[in-house]
Amino acid sequence: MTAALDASTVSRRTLIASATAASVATAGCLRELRSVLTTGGSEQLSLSIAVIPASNDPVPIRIANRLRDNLEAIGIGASIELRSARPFRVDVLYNHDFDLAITTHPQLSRPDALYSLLHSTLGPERGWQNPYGWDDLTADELLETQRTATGTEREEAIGELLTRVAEAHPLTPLWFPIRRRAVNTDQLTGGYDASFETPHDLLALEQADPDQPLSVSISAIGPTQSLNPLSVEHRDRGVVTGLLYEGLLRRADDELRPWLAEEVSWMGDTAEVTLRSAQWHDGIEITADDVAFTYDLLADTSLGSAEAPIPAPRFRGRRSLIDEVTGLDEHTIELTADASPAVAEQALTVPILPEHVWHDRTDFASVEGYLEEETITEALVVDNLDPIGSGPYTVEEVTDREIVELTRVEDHFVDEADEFDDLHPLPPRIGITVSPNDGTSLEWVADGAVDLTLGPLLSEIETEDLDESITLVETPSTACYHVMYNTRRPPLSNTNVRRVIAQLLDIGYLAEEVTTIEQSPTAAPLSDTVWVPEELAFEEVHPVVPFLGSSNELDVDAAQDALTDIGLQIDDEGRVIQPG
Amino acid sequence: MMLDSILLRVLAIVLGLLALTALVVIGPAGLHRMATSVRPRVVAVIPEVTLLVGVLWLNRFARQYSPDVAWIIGFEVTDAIYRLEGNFVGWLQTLAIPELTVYFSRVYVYGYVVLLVFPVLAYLALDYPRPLRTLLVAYSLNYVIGLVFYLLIIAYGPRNLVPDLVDPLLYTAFPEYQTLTRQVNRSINVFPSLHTSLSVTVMFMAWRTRETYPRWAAIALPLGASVVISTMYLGIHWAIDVIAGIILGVVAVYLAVAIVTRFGEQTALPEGLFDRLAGH
Repeated sequence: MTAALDASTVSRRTLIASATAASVATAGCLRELRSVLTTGGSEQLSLSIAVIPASNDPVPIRIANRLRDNLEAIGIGASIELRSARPFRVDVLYNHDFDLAITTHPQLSRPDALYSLLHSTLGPERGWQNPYGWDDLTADELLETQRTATGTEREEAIGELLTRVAEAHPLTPLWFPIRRRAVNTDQLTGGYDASFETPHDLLALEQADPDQPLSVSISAIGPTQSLNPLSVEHRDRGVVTGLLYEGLLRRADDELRPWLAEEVSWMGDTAEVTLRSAQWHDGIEITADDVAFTYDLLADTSLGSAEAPIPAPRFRGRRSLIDEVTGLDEHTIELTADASPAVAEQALTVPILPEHVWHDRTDFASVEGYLEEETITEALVVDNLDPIGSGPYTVEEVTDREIVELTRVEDHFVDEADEFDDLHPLPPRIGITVSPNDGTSLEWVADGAVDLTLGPLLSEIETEDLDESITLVETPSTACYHVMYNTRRPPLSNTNVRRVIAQLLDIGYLAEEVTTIEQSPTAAPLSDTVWVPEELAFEEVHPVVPFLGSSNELDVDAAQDALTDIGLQIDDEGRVIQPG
Repeated sequence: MMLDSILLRVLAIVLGLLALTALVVIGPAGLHRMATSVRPRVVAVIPEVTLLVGVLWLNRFARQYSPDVAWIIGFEVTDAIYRLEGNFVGWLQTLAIPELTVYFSRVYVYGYVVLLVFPVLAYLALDYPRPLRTLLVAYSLNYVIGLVFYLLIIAYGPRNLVPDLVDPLLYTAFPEYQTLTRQVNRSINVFPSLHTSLSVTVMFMAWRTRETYPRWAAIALPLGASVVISTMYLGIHWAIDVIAGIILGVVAVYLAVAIVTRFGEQTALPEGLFDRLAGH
C-alpha cells in the first residue's frame, strides 16, 4: 500500500472508526437535551422527519417538505432533520433516534428480504433489521411461513403478509425508482443497461478497448472512507466491496451463480458446498475454515466473548436462514438451513471473510483503548481500507472523498475457468471517482474520463443539450423509497396515527412531481409485483390509505376529523395535543 | 485528475488578476520598491505568518475530522434557521438572470481569492508592517472562531433544505467548480459564512487603509459586497449565515487590532534575529 494510505489510515482509524461507538454511547442523553431545547416543553404533538440533504438526493427532502407542510396544516408540529448519509444511518438505523424518516431501502426484491425488514424479534437490532420497531405477531407468522412454504402456499402467505403490512402500516412504501445513468457508448459497448445493483453487473460490462481501465463515478463518499463489508454507516448496497470480497454464490441477473463454490448440492434442507481452489489477496489459501468462520462471525461478531451476541447487521436476514455450518474437510462445507432451498440459497451470497484477518477484530470497539462501547465490536467499525479479500480486484489506492482505485488480482479463478468466459476480458483496473454533482458527472462522461455514472443521475437533466457522446440509460431498481415510522415512540406506536399520517401524502402526485423521471407508486414494499395481490395494486389512489384530498391539495378538515376519530384532541388554536 | 485542470485554470486567472490589481493599486513604483526590499518586509511578519500557517494547517486537519466530531457534540439547526429566516434566499433567486449568475459565480470563486490574497501583497508593499500583521491575525481569528462554530453547529445551506425554492445556481451553471470548492467547503458548515466573514475583514481593513490605498478601497468594497451577496444568490448560504459572517469579520478585525497593539512588541522578532534573517 502507498505511504499516503498508511499515514492517514492510522489516524482515521482512531476517530472515524470509533465515531460510531461514541455516537451510540452519547446518543441517548444528547437526544433528550436536543428535544428539550427544540421543543421547549410544548404541549403540541410534534414530530421530526429525518432526511438526507438535497445534494445527496433531492427526492426525499421534497417529500419531507410536503409532509411537513401538511402535518403543520392539520396542527401537528413538524421539523425536518437533515442528516448526511452516514449520520443518517447512525441515527436512524443504529440508534433508532428518529420519529419519521424518508429514505430508500437499498434492495427489496425478494420476499424473504421482508423477514429481516419486519420481524418483531429484530426490532432491537441495528441496521435494516426492523428499524421501525414493529411488533405484529400475525406478520411474524406469515414471515416464518414464507420461509418454509413453497408454491401456492408461499404465494398466499406473501400476499397476506403484504396486505397485513399495508393495513398495520409500519412504513409507507412510495415507489421503486427507475434509475437513470449516463454512459459513454464509445468506450462501453455492452452491459451498460444493467441495474448495477450487484457487482456482477460491473464485471459484465463490455469495453471497446479491454486494455483500458474501467472508470465509473459515484456520488457517495462511503467507499473512500471505509471498505468494510459489515459497516452499516458506510454501505448502501456494497457494490464496491462486492468487487473485493465474494460469496459462495454470486447474484448475476436473476440467478445465483457458483462463485467461490464450485458446486452446491441440496438434499432436503442441507447443502453440501465444494470450494474452488482460490486464494486471499495475501496468497493464503481459502479453506472451509474461512467459510465456517464467516458464518460464525456474522451471527456474533464477538464470537461469544460478549454477554449477548453482537450480530453483523448487514447480511443478517440471509444469515438467519442458516442453522449450522460445518467444515467437512479443507474444501467442503455442509450448511443446514432453516428454510426451503429456494429461499435459503440466498444465504450463500454473503461475502466470505479471511479468518486470519478478522479473528482479531472481535473485541469491543474503542477509541485507543478509551471510550469502550460494549455493544459494538471492532469488526463492525474498522475501516478496512487495506482489505484482504478474495475478489478479482484488490485496492491500489484510496483518497478520502475522492477516488478508490482497484487493480486486477493475478491468477484469479475468474480468469482461468471457462465458465466465466462471458465476463472476459475484465478491465485491468477500475477507478471509482466521487462526483460532486450530476453536471460534473456528465462532463466526465462526455470527455471520456468516466465510462458510466454508477451512481445514478438524480437531478433534472436537460436532455436536449446533452453532448453527443453521452447516452442516457434508464433501468428499474429494487431500491424502495418509503416513509419510515418509529413505532417505538408514541403516538407512532398507534397504528391509526400512522395511517392518518400516511394519508397526508398524495403519493400518485409525488411520483410524478418530485421526481425527475415519473415513477410508479406502490402500496407494497416488494419490487416484483408478481407477489402483490390485486387488492393492493395502486391504481388511482392508495388502496388502503388514500390521500385525504386531491391533486396534492389536502382537505384539512377531513384530516383533522380523521385525527379526532382516532382519539386525538385538537385545541382551540387548531393544534393537535400530544396524547398523554 | 479532474481537480488539477480546474485548479490550474483558476490559479492562472487569479494570478493574472492579482498582477493587474497590483499595477493599478500599488503601482509600478511601489512594486519596484517592494521588490528591492522584499526580505525585511517578509521577515517582519514571520510571527503572524507562522500563526496563520499554523491555523490553516489546523483547519485542513479539522476539515477531515470536524464533521465526525460535530455529529457527536453539535446541534443540527438547518430547519430552525429556515423557520427564523423564511424564504429570503428563495426570493433573492427570483431576481436571477443568467448574466448575474455568471457574474456572481466568477466572483464567488475568482473574486473571493483575489480579495483575500491581494491585500497581503498590498500591505507587504507598505513601509510599516502593522496593517499586514493585523490582516494576518484577523484571518487567523476568522478561521479559529469559525472552526469552533463548525464543531458546535451543523447547518446545511438553503439549496439542501428547500430545493424547490432555492437552486444550487453555482453548480448548475458551473458544475466543475464544485470539484474545487468541495476541497474547502463542507456542506454542514454554512454557519457562519466564512466567505462573508473573510471578505468583510478585507473590506474593513481596506476601509481602514483607504488613505494609503484609495484605489484598493474603491475595489475591495464593491468586490467584497459582491462576494457576500453571491453566497446567497447562489443558494449556498442563508442570510442568517451572512449576518453572522459580517459580525465575525468585523469582530476579527477589532480583536486583531487589539492584539497587535497590545502584544505587537512582544511577538515581534527580536532585533538580532530580525537583522540576521533580513540580511542586514
